[in-house]
Amino acid sequence: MTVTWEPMLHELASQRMGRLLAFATMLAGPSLADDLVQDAVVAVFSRNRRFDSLPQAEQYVRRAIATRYIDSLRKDKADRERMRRYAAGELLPDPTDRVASADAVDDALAQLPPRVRACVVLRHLEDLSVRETAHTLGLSEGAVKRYVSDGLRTMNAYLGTELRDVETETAPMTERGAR
Amino acid sequence: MSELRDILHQRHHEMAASLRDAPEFDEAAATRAVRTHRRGRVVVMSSSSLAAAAVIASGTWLLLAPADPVVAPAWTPSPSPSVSVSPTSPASPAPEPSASPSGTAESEADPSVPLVTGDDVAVLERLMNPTTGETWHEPVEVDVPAGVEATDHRIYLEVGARADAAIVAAVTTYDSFYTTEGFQVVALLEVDGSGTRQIVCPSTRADDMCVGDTEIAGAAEDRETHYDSLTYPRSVTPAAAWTIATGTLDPSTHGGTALGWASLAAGAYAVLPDGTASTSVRTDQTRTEIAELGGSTLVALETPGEVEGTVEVHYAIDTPLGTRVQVGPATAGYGAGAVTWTDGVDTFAHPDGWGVDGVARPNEPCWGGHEMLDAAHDASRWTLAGESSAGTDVYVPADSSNELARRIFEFERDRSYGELVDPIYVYPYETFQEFLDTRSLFTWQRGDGAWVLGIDSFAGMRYYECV
Repeated sequence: MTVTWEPMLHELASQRMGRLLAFATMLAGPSLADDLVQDAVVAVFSRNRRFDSLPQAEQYVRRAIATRYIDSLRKDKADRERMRRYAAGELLPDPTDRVASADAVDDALAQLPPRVRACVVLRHLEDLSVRETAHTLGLSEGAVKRYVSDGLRTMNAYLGTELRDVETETAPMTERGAR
Repeated sequence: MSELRDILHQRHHEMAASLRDAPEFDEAAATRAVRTHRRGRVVVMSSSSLAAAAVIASGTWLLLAPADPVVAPAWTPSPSPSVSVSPTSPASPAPEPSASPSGTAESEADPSVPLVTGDDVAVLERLMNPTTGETWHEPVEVDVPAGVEATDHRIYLEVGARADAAIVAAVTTYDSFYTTEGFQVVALLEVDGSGTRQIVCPSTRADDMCVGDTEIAGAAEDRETHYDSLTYPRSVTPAAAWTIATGTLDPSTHGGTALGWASLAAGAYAVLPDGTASTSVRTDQTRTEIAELGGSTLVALETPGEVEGTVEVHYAIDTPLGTRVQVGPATAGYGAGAVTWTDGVDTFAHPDGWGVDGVARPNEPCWGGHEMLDAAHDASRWTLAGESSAGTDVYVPADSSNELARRIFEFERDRSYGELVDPIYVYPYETFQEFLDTRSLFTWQRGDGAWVLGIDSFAGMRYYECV
């Protein structure tokens, strides 16, 4: 059954807003999450799109959050500076600071440059394939593999975990200059 | 092994619970904004219906407006035995308005240049006079075909017929994250009294790729049915030094096509019959018809370039089932050995191994899917320096007074990632003069009069994503 947009938007706001804000926060950080969700909901519902279910509507909004976030980074020079510092190892955390708490997860994600963070979240929270992640973010599949590989390395180092992603394992970008 | 994934999911769960009643989302403001956007959209749709009617009348409709429920033939293969291999005027007026200067010159197509050659002559003849019996009409949404398993985010559009079978396109309703150029046709089906068959190899050409990993559950695999009207020449040459790779998907988009290379026969819809418009399809392009290919039309899609004074051109085939397939340019002169310089010095040879494939397109960081044209060529700013592999004269900037060259140099330099990731992302030239001295930028004139800009790929922008 297709639901008209106003009841669906209300249902989404009343039942799924926590999940959307949490996703946006993990993807982009708390300072951007509110605006991303607001903009994504308006963008998705402004089109003449049919939604058969609440999960389907939520899924559209989550994708819109990701694409809008990455679009906002494309001309962001500060993003490039973060990437430079990350590649140089300046942002890698001291393992002795590791704390096993929710804050530690937030802090670990905060260590990652935006594109790396987005790739990790879409791959390992949204469980998208490398291809789907690449299409969502407008990146090449090769770039996604490198970002995820580098991001997991940092996350594992920070949290003491050992997650590997065989689909994305590749040479870390900090070693690429040696070729 | 999945510990980190579990941690991420746990954190998401905790955060979602804590934010469940957060006041950050303003539902009333969102609802007002959506209402405003939708009202605006209704006005746009109403006016675009007129444009759509005009386009439909020309036989190259693109679903600019919601489909009429009546199934009306939009195009039926001509029984005429004659084959025209003359391109339509490259300067045909586009149906969409444009405020930008066109990079395509007035029609100067050289009639002595064949539109197709070799095996493509027979392909074009069958394209103009199909023998495989299919007809096409405007898409009309239908129920899930008999025996086919219903799937989320997929609709079925009846788009044609062949003998007693209806031809039905399975179309994904995902927009902008699974597809990169609209609502993709993920399969072509034929439905008749015996059930539903998936047309796995729509092209009649034996060595064309068939559908890869997209299987429609419940449909039988049909490898014997092909469509002449969806089998395109490998390449089309509308004018001297201007070849379009009609047998090759645009490399900037093919990664998102569900049918892989078989998408050449399927393409994607910009707008679904219910009016849902894709957000991944550009709407600011000027469409110019280049050549009629039976019921399909080869078109150029132009937009003002990011560099002032340039025009960017994509090429596409508008198919008889209402979809668009983006194809790649194959302008003669691109690739290694593309230019023979008068002084005999091979400036395409670079020690670092970066992109030493000769000529790139100045506006493309990675995928090279479209061309850049000089919209207002000033011959006094260029000087003859060599000859392309297609036999056309190649010009380089006469000196540093060439402001277009300066803008392109700055564009490439500023778009490069720089040293933030790796030294190889540092743009190789610090000054405009170095850029000129290495013959980084050059241009040549196509047979239709347009001036194409090429760049030594070594001097192209250096993007992390491209490596």
